[in-house]
Amino acid sequence: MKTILFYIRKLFAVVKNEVLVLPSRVAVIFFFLFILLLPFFTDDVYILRIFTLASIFAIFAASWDLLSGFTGQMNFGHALFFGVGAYGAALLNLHYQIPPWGSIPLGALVGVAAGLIIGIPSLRLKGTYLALTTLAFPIILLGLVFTFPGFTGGELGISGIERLAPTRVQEYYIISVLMLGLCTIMWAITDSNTGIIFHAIREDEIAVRASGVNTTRYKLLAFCLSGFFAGIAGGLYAHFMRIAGPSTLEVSLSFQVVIWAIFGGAATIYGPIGAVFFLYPLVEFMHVLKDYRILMFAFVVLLVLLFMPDGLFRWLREKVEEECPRCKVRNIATRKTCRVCTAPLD
Amino acid sequence: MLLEVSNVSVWYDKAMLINNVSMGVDKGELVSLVGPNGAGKSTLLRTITGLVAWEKDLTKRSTHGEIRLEGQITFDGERIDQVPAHEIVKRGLILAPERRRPFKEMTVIDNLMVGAYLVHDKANIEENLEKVYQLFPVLKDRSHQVSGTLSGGEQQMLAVGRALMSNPKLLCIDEPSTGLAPILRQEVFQRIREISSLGITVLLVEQEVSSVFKMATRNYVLSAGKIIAEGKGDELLENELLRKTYLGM
Repeated sequence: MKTILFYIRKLFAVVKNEVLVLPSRVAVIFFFLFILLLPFFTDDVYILRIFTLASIFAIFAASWDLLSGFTGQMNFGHALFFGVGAYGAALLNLHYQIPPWGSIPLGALVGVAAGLIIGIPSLRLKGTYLALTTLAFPIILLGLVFTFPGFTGGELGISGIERLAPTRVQEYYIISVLMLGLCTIMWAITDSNTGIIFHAIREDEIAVRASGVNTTRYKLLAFCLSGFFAGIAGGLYAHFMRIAGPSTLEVSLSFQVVIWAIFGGAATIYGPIGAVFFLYPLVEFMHVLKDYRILMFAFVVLLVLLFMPDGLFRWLREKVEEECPRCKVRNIATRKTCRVCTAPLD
Repeated sequence: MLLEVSNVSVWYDKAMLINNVSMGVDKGELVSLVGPNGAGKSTLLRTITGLVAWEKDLTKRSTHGEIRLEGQITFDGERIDQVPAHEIVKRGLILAPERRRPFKEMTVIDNLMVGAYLVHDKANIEENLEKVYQLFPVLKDRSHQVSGTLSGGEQQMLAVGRALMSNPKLLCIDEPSTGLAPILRQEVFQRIREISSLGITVLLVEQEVSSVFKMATRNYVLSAGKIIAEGKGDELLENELLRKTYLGM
């Protein structure tokens, strides 16, 4: 009993001293609460559907950020991972009757394989060349999908896949909790030593190599991890929509993920997630504007890129938080002195 | 010999950058490699540390023409000319590269941690970190500062500190004094002398001949890819022709 009380008190202390002091951390708590409590406030199937899809795309956008934002391997064909995850899960479910809890991880493993397949030839490429090569891969696969309609369903895709769960609310919880978990894992990866090396590779690969790091292995690791998470997103999408079609491989999806990541702030993980939860519902709710909604979407994106080139959420964070010049700890912008070393903030 | 380079030649397409070079570095020495611009000093260091071979792999079948490597390099009794660059670092031969190349968006401490990548023992990392901070106290003061905001001299100290984090037996430093004010150059050289006195063998590539000759145990003069002279500093300076033509003094 005593130990339990001790840990509860400790938890309170951590929340009070470490979480509540920073607006960004409070925002993350609110985000978690919002996601977990949403079905208590609305049982509108349409709204739940929008946020379920937003969760799927949030995993997808964060996985792009892990590869392109952190490691700097510009991937303009990220839909490949999403597509193979979706098709992999769909085919396994339809032909081998593997239930979703098996087909989605296996689909993600196909994503890992896809990561290796495009990772290995991409090792020698940089910048625009890498971007063009990665752009080509999903288009090639799309061509294959149309060439073998008997196996892949061609234009119509593969339908008749098992539902993830019997009700919308259950599906919402499975996907959103997975999203919160997987995104936390991705954030933890970027915050670890592996993340430091990813970041260092983006800045100067030769210097990393000269420090004794096998950069080839780390670049492939980034491709595989990114393929894994995007593959899970694709598998979830297939089971949620109950169809895996050519739209999961389209160029527009590859660009969509780049827009989300840049809009929210690349190389942050939280930026792309926030951007998806901002832009995806926005575009959906703007459907009253009919054909103008894509125009409005472009307008919003351009506005953000013009005035907040580092991304919306990074910009917001800079506005509400300040870094202490002496000890580099972050503080809420309203404070006059640093909360740790009491140095004056200006 | 800790490092032995024998008959090494390097071609970039048709240009021969290193011409049949043989040299050696003994344990505990501070050896310098001097020479005019474009002599191939940095290429030789990059050949020894495996970076040229890596570049060769990357540019295979490219339109820039092929890189060719010949000769034999041994380090600590083992051949390393076929060993990939990151494996060479594992054996204790490390390069603090030209133009320092810090990871500019990362903090000083994160830069040093990339250097400690090969060390798995936490206590050893702490020990090395303490050593680096003792040599370069300014890095300790700035440990959480983003390294792109450091001055040129501090970035040079960071590059050397990063290399020291991996427990090197032989530390190669490429042109540490480039772009530094004279007083900072002297400080950097002083630190290199201290590193040498810690028992770490140093191979130093430099243009600033006068200071280097005073501190190095032995010197090699490289010109147009060839080693044209070798010896102690004052011996080399006695040779009028060498002094005037190659060392510019």
